[in-house]
Amino acid sequence: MLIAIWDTTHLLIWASVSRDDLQPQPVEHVRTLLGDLAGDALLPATAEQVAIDVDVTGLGKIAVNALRLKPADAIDLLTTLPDTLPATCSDSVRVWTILAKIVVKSLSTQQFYPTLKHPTESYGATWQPLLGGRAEVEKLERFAHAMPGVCRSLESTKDVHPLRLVETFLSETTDALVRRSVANDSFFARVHQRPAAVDVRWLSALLGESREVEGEAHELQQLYDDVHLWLAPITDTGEQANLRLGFLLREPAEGTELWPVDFRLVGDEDEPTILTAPELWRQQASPLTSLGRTIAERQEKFIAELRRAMEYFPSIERIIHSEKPTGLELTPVEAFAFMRSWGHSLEEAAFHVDLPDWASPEDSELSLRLSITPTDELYDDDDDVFDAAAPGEARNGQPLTAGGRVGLDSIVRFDWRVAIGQTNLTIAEFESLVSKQSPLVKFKDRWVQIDLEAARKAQDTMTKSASGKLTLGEAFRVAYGLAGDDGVPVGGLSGADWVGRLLDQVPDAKLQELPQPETFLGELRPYQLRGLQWMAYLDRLGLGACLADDMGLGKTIQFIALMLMDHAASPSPQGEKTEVRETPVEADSPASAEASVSTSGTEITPATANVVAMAEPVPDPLPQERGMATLLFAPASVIGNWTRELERFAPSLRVLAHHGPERKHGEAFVENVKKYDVVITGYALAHRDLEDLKRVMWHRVALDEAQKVKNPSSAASAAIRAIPARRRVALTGTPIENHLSELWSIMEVLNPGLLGSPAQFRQRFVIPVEKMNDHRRGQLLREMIRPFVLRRTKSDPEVAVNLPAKMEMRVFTSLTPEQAAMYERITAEMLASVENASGIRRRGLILAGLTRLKQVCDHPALLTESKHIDGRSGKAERLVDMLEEVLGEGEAALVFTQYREMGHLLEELIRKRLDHDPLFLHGGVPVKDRDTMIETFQKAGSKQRIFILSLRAGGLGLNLTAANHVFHYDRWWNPAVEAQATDRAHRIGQNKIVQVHKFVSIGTVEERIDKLLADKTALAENIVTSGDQWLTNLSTDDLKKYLALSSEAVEEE
Amino acid sequence: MADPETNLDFIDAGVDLHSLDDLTHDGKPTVLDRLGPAHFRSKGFSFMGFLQTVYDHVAEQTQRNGSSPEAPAEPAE
Repeated sequence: MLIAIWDTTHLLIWASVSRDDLQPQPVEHVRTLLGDLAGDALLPATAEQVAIDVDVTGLGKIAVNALRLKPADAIDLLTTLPDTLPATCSDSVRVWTILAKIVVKSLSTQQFYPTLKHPTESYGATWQPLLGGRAEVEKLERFAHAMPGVCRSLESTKDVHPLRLVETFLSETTDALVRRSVANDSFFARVHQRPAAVDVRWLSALLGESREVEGEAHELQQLYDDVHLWLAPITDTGEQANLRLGFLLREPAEGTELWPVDFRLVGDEDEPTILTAPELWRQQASPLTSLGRTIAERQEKFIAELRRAMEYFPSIERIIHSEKPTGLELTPVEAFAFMRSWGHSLEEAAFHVDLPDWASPEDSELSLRLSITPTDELYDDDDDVFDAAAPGEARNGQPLTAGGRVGLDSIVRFDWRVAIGQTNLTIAEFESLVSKQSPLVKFKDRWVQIDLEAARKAQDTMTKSASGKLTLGEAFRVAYGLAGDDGVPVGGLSGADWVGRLLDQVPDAKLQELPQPETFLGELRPYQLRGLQWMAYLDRLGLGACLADDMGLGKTIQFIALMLMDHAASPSPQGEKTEVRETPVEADSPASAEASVSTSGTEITPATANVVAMAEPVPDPLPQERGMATLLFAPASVIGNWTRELERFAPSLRVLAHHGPERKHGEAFVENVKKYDVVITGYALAHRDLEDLKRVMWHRVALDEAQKVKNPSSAASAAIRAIPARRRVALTGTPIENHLSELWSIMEVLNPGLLGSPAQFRQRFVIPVEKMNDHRRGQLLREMIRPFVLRRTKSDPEVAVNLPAKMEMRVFTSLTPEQAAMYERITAEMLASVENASGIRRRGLILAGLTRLKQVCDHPALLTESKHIDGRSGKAERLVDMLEEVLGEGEAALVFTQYREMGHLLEELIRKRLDHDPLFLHGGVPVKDRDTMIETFQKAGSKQRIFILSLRAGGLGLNLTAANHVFHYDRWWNPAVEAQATDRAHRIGQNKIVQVHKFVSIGTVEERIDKLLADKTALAENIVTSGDQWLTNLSTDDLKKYLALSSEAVEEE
Repeated sequence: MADPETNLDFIDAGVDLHSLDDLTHDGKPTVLDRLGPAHFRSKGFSFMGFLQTVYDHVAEQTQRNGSSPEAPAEPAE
């Protein structure tokens, strides 16, 4: 009977008389039995005969002659044996045969990996098979224990743990087979050429005859660290997988000043596994915990990680040469450094750090806080009428604040307060702490951190000016460190009275009761009303406000309500209320829309509701002091949207769209402005028409999509800052506190000087936050701008309870001049061709023309040879802006279009402009790929968060609940089809509010039909049931009414 | 002559000695796919490209020949 034994480097095969009689047979008998199994060729020439001693239970030690096979030869032999071994093979042969199959399978499926053993005498490069996780290792361990006793009957293996024996078999054979595979192949031999980098020398040692990697100690250590870091994703398995080296800082024991740091390994779970260093070192005597990850290897990794940590935690150097390091002790200065910077750096480098609960700087750091109090009330308590017309001005036009100053120029009293965390200190307490000259001292039974240098500067500051007067703007700059980087540990601002309310974003009680304006045609949700009150409060204080609510929460209508509030509170020129007269307009007439919408540079009046009679132009003796119009800057693509929203919600406001070649200049412009409440213009005109815009003292300058002024040095930014206005408001949907250059730029428009000079702001905030990832400095900045920025998201409780699960909104976009020209040409050609046609041909011409009109509204590139995508489509530009906000919020969107080619254009545009790789599902995508796309999109944390779908391919049956925005880029004119598409996201499994954005090109057939559908007339029903067909039944004159382009359709600057 | 009962424990395996086919990562991404690029890259030498070639070569040889019995024998010690 054949018996096989692995001696950790070779396979030894010998033969006994029988299963019951273990007396050894001559080695020729082994050859005979093997030959009977699969032929003599199985026995490699290198198999040699050796004499060994085997310790047989009951027989004692006996001398045996065996054949000795090298690892690769052993695998060759074992894998050629029949699947069902005959009775001449003992179970010991079966053991190695089963393992040999694992080795072969690992190699053929590329489940093996190179590694580098930590040196005892030299660095050894070897190949290992990759097995599964802990469950597999446990299975292998059971297998190892089931091995017959004969497998460990050699003197050299009797004390080797069974699993260790199995492991050496798998490792040695894998290593030998890989090396043999590449031996004698000149391609692979090139790694043996010298000189070579250390990683190439490692490869050479993996593929050559010698396992040793040669090199300098430091480069080999670096290589070892790099290799183990690289292999971590596959070698960290089992219950101690993902254990990270951790450092636990403890308070000093009584009577000592030294701070202990314990080393340990910490898991990533919610309740993490913790293996302390002493426990780790005690495990040394145990055998194995998992294949390929012996305790010894874990200990090696522990040491390697300690070496890696030394870069961030230099004190480790003191113990790195200890045999079994378990921790170290830090001086107070080192412990302070650990709390303030080393610990953070270690965490950034993926180490685990535990500090005492009190050690967060917020709780224990010393800082100076500026406490301010207004010098005067803004208005008397007896005043029960809010004078929205002129903040800070009394009825007689006299300012109410002391010294005639308002806003950031208000004078405030200040005094410095010293605080530890949130606890204020007396001067005596502060002096006492500093006198101890230690960065970590006990104060009222708790530890506090004191930056001694900063404390000294704080003392200087207090000595020089413990209290006094500043302007509000100066107070902000001093309190947040923008008044010069002198190292004083400033920690913010607190205030009383109206300043306190400002800091807390809580409007004055009178404003908290303010209802929405009566002239607002709609109902503000509670959070929108609060937004209105907040803007009104900042107006009252003469401060600029940035409303930064999430997209879709109604920034536009909150601002419209604010303008209506001004309008209601203010007298018209000559002190008379603007007279309003009603003019009936036929709601279902497309022509009415055209008639009601002005051309550029002229009045815009409501299309479907009231037309406001213009007050007679009245000469204003002091136009720069009493101008009442709001100047609103907006991207050209959304000017149309503003006019539509103003018509809908505030028909009493008189609106001028100041753009296009016909716009007025000079005195004519000034005179014209007096007739309006709102003047909307594009950002590009801020610089171009600056001389005109500066001639008016605006009631308010407002910025929509304020992130457009993100470049503070751009001509538009500079121009907007130069335009005089009493109030300033910015609207943006992006979290501007995360984009610091935008933040400075917007704030400089709203509250000039608040954030200091660009250089000061950069030094104080941009570099620490963006370059050094200083979270605390970021927090300080957020605190500083909080009074001026109101941002609510859909998930905020005050918002969420007031929102429906699905919100639908129209997004009105303008055409570019190119789109408008093409639209008009297509319309003219179409009308001319249908004039003389009839029957099916006429219908065909109309439908074809209609498709081209829809396509030109989508993007001119659909109809031109030029496929240039940027700046040619108002819709596309608007979509990109909105998707940027979606991505900025970490949300996801579906974009539906009817045209596959449009999908491709959007795909390209999104890649180019947003640096985002969208998914695109259309009819040509194979089912398999389609499933992969859906899986990718739905996967938690997917990087692909925009999914473009053709309406036909993606409108039905898909579950795409990862998206909470649905864009209908073009319209199907059948609400049911659109609703089905929307329901891809708005369905069971969706746990967010879904926002549906329906794009409509202003002044085109899209808007006419959208209006008809919204009115739900009988004609609308016809549209729904017949699609585009109903248009083919219209007379040419009626067709013209629906298709003709109105002049307001075009975005011009 | 040894006691037969004792000999059986010595020569026969326990019940857990069975196929270990499910022990490997069959069907899962290859090791290099899971590891991704290495942290170290030598100038003028495509470390990962070379390593991938090694893997492909070894896998192909193993699939073709089992453990490659036709490969040259290991050098004698």
